[in-house]
Amino acid sequence: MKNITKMMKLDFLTMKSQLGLYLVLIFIMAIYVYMDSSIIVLSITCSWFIALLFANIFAIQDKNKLNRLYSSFSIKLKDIISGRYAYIFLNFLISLLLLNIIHFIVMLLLNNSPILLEYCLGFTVSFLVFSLIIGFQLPIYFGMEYTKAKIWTMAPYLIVMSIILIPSLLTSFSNIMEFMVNNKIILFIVSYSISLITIFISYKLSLKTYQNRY
Amino acid sequence: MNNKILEVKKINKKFSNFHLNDISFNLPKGYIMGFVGPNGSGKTTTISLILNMLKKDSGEILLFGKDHIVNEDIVKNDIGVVFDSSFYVDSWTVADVEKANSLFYKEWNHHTFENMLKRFELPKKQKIGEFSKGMQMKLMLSCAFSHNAKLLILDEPTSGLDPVTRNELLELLQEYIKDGEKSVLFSSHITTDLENICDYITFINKGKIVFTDNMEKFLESFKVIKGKLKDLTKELEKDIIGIRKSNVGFEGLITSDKINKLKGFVIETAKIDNIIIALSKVGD
Repeated sequence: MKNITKMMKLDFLTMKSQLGLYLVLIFIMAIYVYMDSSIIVLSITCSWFIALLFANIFAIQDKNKLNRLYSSFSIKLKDIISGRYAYIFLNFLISLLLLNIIHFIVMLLLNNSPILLEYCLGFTVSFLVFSLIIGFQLPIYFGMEYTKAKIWTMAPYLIVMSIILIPSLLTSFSNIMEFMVNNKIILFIVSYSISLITIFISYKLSLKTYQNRY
Repeated sequence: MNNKILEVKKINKKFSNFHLNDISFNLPKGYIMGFVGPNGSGKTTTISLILNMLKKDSGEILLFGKDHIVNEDIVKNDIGVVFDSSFYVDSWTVADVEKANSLFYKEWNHHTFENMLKRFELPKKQKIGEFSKGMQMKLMLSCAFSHNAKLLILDEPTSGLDPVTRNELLELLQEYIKDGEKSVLFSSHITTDLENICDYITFINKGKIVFTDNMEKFLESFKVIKGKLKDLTKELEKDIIGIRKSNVGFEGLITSDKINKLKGFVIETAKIDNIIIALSKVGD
């Protein structure tokens, strides 16, 4: 656990120069909150952007040959992977928390009453979206050079775009979503189960791809 | 007690176009080993395998008597590493580099690091990306020296350094091993550096170890032979490694055990360069 925390601190140091982008993201979110956007939609959008933003760490890692730095440190290979997963998910949690706090305060300022269930739904669905995107991308980033990996990691975004653009797919997806929204307990159970299974499989795959990266 | 700091035993690694074949060598405590070979001979691959940056196909690597993968977090605490190019984030400053290193090394010494920065005259506020190659190299060296490492692994550390700093580094390395407890694995193309400070030498060519033993033995094993073309018999030509012929005569390398029977030739002491160049030609 100690080594994972160290890796997270190192990742934070690595991403220090990107902090400005992160603040811009929070600012944009705050504007959308003020425009009375739904917290569910905002949470999903936020998870999407966080996934895009934190993929940059692999670009920095590649550009500066950080694999060499990691190999010189007194840590095991699995600590590098675990630390990266923990760092990215912690950032997601902090961002979502900030978003929810901003939303909550703005709702109070606008004399609207915040609905707790919406916050829970927003978090659950965005966690699912984030886990699916990151879960797919990380094993690729760990196994390939950033420039090559970048093409493959666009797949989750393309899939979502396809769902939106193909009417029949969108209808089926909407039906599933409608069913889920009407059966919230099932939605929570299914979403968290899929998220956790995705993260677990993704982590195992990352270990494999990182070990065999050359 | 095991006197070897590094033991590489029959390691193999296959790539589509290159094969590191049964690499074995040992580095005893208290010595500097030069790791030499032409470009693409497998030096960096071997170092990457030692550091577990690459997965070996077979063989065993022991650091301080322990398996380098099973005990990776323990053994690496005692290793300092310098590569031929910087591995720090270019937007970092020296302070960030120290923060990063001090996270991972139990015996990180801020005082030593400060002294090294002063010694190398490295600016503290400038970004690493703005450092020259020589400055980046000095920074990596400063870090390697600042956590009481028992083994330094240096991959082409002198390539970006001016002669004065190179000399300073060589002095530092000699100072470093003085207590007899520490060792250095030093890969370099600049063989004069190696000749000056190395106690042992490992020569690798085309993925195979050609020679690994102490420097004296390495230099004594070969002699440079020069002579006139008319004196060059077919039998002698077979014995000469890396022969070069010109209008005035020939020049090459010959193993020392063969020089007693030779008369009328110029026999000179071989330098590392002579040996490496000649041996590199074998099998071409």
